[in-house]
Amino acid sequence: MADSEKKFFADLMDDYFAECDEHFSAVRRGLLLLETSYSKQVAEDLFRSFHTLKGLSGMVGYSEAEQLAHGIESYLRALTKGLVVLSQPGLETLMASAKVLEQTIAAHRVKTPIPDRQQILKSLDCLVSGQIVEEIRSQPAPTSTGSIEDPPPEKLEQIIAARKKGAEIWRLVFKPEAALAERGINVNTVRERLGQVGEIIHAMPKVVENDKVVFEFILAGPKQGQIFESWESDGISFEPFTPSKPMETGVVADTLSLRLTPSNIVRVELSRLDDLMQKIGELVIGKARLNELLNSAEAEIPHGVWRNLQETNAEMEKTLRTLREGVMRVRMVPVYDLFERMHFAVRELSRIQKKNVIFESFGGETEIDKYLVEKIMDPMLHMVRNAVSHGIESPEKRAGTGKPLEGRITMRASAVAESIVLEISDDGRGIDAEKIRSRAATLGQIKPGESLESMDILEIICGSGFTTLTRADVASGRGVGMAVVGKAVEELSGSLSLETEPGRGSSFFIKLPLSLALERALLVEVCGRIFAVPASIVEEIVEIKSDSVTLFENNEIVAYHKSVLPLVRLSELFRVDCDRTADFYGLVVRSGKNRVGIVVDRLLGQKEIVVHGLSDPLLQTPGISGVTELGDRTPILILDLKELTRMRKRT
Amino acid sequence: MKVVLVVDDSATMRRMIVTSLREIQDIRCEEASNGMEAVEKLVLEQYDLVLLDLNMPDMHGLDVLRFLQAHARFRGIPVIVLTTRGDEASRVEALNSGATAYLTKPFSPPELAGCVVELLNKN
Repeated sequence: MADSEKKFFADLMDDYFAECDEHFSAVRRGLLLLETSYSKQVAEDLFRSFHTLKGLSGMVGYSEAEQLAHGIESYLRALTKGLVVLSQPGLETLMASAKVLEQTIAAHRVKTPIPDRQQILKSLDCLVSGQIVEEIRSQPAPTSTGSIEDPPPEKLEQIIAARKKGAEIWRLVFKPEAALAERGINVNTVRERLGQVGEIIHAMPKVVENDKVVFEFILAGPKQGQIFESWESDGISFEPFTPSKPMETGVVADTLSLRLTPSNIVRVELSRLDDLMQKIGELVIGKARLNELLNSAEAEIPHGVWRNLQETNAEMEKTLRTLREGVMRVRMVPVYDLFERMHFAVRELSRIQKKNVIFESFGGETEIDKYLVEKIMDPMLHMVRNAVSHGIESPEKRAGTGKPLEGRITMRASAVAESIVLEISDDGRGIDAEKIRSRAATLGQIKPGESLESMDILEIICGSGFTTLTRADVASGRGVGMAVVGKAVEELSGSLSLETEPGRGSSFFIKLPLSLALERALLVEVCGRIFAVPASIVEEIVEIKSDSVTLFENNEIVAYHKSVLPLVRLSELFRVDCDRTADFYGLVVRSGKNRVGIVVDRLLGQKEIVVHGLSDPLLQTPGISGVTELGDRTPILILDLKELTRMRKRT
Repeated sequence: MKVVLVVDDSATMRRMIVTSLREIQDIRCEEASNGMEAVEKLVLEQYDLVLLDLNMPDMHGLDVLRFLQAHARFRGIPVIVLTTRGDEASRVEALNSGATAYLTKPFSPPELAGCVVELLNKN
């Protein structure tokens, strides 16, 4: 395959997977709506989504996905035609088959074996019996509005419903022209504009006198029409809507729809944003260099000139900061989609386990870096499944302890300073500390008789190899355990904490930094070498005089805030020889429940640095999380203090 | 230079189609992601051929087709509709509504290119 063909194919597949993702988001929303109550509109939207998925999968050669999508689409078609009624097993099969389809497409993406579809295809077949399929074949042509002069009956119902809610119905006509199109005013943007002031009930093209084509919109909008007056110059005229036929009152139809991206949204590859961020990082470094050069030049140039240079420099610094924040904003998406996925998983699981679970969420509009969303999705799904499977008790048990029959899972997102905090809480049985303790003792992870606090519990359950399950539990992912969650959170430079009360419930808190590429770092010197340490994990810096250090069980410790602080010498960990200075500094860092002081010889200051991961596997060194450079282009290693303190424990 | 309008709500499909037609001499492609946009483009510019997906939200491909056929201005432009396998009813309806030809998904790039070239040369 030629290079250009390869690129085309790669780009095409990117498009395909991205579009499938969007469709699955819409499908999830639709299925959740269907579960609350059946709506033909929603079923039709779902049909269209699966129909598209079928077509696309066929085009890229994924015949298994095509086949499965076809099966799902057939059932939905039967539903929309009223040939079958949506039943509970039917809904369950729909949800299960959507999941298998998603997994099938994902399997292609990561090149893992494709899940077996026979079972689900059989279930779908049962729902749409052979007889019904025959009826579908003999039906006349599918969805189209027929007459395009007056709105079809369902739209009239929508109009009635909108009027009931207090909206005024308008008829707007847009006449397209080349001159308008040049100004960016076309039917797409006009539609967008209308969508912002109300709800578009109907839209259609019309030919008027002189063979001119216009677009007519029926809008449920504001009570007063003043807002439309300024639109005349954009080719949009308006008037209150009067139907030509008298409207009959009827059953109100659901107007929820599962539209995909409107056309003023640009889909951007995350890697392009990464490139942008990297360039900004280089700008930050260049700026730092400029700062230093300017400072050293102060003595050598006329003061007035120097002042001007400094002022311009300061301006640029401000602009750079704004630019950086702007690019970071572009990468931000609301956590709402994440919450919806959890919602979906909770619904599914609680049905399978015959528990009644309510899912609620707060703060869905909080924004989070898209990269974080991808990485934290699976760990959160894991925790949510744990909550439903192990946290929430069966309705009988709950009734027995006087709890409401429905279990409750709450998710919250909030932005705090430079971090985002995600909370998953349940009102279930809480984590049994005793059970954890005895299991850990059995596994030899702690000494029998040792007592535990919340933070200890967390560390234990996140430790690899720990599980309270003695046989595989499919719903919770086979007891892979919280180790995966702990690791994922750590990789994102985040932190995990837990509050639990036996009988009342548990709350997990995931704290993640908002900024990924740029960090504030402390520059320190150890044995003549300069290292960078992420500022966010250093709780405190203390000055230590060598005569205040005592030896206790082979560990150096100093007095610290009514307690002791064990010291960790990087020189030992890195096996670097150097003279110990008389006085030095300790960077106080958390290690589980305790604190540890990392010894450094000198503090050189704080800087904002750009983090470059050390991606070559051959260069992976424990304790080093990345590399950066300062203004003088010398590479500086970034220390992973958490890893280092763990290394110390092992030695 | 002949101009082709590609109408499909799926960005992936549009990319596939436009790339498939790239090799054809003297041809330029324009895209529309929904029926209304397609009509607008047809109003403001001249096109020699329309590739029309049927299964689109908001304005179904058949409605677009009927609108084009109902008005002398657009009636003469050849339209190839893109249908899916198993959707015979739509295909028949499309031909009855004035489509010049149809192509069933999945189709290969050479199939598409061949059909387009044939229709463009006929006119």
